[in-house]
Amino acid sequence: MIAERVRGSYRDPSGFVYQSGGELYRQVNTSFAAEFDACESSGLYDDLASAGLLIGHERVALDHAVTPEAYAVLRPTRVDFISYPFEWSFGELKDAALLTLDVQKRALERGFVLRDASAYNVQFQDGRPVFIDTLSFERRSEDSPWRAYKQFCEHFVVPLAVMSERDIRCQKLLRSNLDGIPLDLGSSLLPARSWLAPGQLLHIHLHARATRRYREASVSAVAGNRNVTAKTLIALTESLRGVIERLDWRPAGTEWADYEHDHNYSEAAHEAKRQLVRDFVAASRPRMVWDIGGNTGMFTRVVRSVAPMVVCFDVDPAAVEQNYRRVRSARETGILPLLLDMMNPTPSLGWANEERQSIAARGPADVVMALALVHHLAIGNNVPLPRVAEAFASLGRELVIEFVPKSDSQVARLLRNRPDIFPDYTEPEFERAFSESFVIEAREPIPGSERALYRMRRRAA
Amino acid sequence: MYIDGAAGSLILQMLAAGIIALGATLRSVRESVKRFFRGARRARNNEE
Repeated sequence: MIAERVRGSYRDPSGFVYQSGGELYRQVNTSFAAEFDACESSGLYDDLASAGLLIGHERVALDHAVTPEAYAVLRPTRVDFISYPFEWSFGELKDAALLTLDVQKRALERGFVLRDASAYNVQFQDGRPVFIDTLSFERRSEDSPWRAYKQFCEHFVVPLAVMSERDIRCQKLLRSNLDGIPLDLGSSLLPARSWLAPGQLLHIHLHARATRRYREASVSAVAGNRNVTAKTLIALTESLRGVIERLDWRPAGTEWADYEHDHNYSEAAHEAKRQLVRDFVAASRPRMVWDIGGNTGMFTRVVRSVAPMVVCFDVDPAAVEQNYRRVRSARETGILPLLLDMMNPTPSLGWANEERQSIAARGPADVVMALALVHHLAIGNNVPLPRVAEAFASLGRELVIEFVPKSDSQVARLLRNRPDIFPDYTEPEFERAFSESFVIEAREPIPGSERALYRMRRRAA
Repeated sequence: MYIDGAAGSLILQMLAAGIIALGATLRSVRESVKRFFRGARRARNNEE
């Protein structure tokens, strides 16, 4: 069986993750055997997994190992969809931070500590964050500080603080800073009042200055033999929790987050559209649906009844945040709200451009939905229709797409203050353009509107 | 350890250990006071 290493799994010499025969495995190397055994026999793994904080795993035969350094092989439970911190809403990042602190606290109580605190150690499954890096734990050496403290602050505290206190769009900094937003950058971005908040003062501003001042210093020469007890580290965890919990961002007032109450359908037409969309998606019997431009997830929930997993992407942080809050409060499963700008979708990133996968590499989805979206791409952003079709063909095997004609009030709004330079934006041209990449299998008018819904199948390459 | 803890980050924890512990104690006292008054209010409401 050929094993394919997960390309982002290379930093930690204690082991790595790989796929083989359609299964996901994690090899534990001999160099980490003592720590792994200690963690396993302490009951920490069982404690965290039974609390839903850590992804479960089963130990499988060593025959599955990839290299001779193998000490053990684990088969972790797979998550439905891999997402990245720069694709999460404020609330998702905040919940991932709180999860990491919960995991750290439980580990400390058993004499262990998190070796790293990367936001990439967290994924979302069934509407909740879950820690996925089983090898992140080691026995705590007596009275030593937390080596992952800076990483935690740069991956969670700084991003959440600048999003909350400065501007939600600072979230985009996470995509260009895969190792977190640097402390000094966070410190300079935050408003002056943040110096008066004790938590932000300590964990961001003083932390940034200490990191710069002692860059070349010997820790023992500066701090002597001062100890950091387990009790102090638990207090540090509580302090970080306090800072994170106080940071908030309320999604309100953006154009998109208000969309559900601001569309141009009658209620009867809306119900007809819901039924039509559900029928079109159900015809494909999909396991994975991507709802592109899904706003707060209204149609995500419509098709969730016919698909076990729906990822709802939107460009608007407020819409994604509202969607996530609904998932959390209603304990919805099989729905993952994520941020995605179709005009600049997640590319392959990191070392050798293969550490974090592009959105297309994480597909193809069984069905891609694009409702009330094509006019924003073709008219709002000048993307020619054949290229819109090509983009969707790279993401999914089937496409359920709504065509919105120029006569529609939503398109008229886009053209209100600009010349109409889109003579090809017509339904016949739409069909011709999409026929290059797809076979059109069905078309139905959406009652009460001039719009039409299409079901298409991607042409074989 | 495979990540760089950064000397300044480790030193900050060692130097600020007392403050961090004091913060935890203050939080704990505040919670106890809150619980006490919540309990007293509940008892008063029950009497009424």
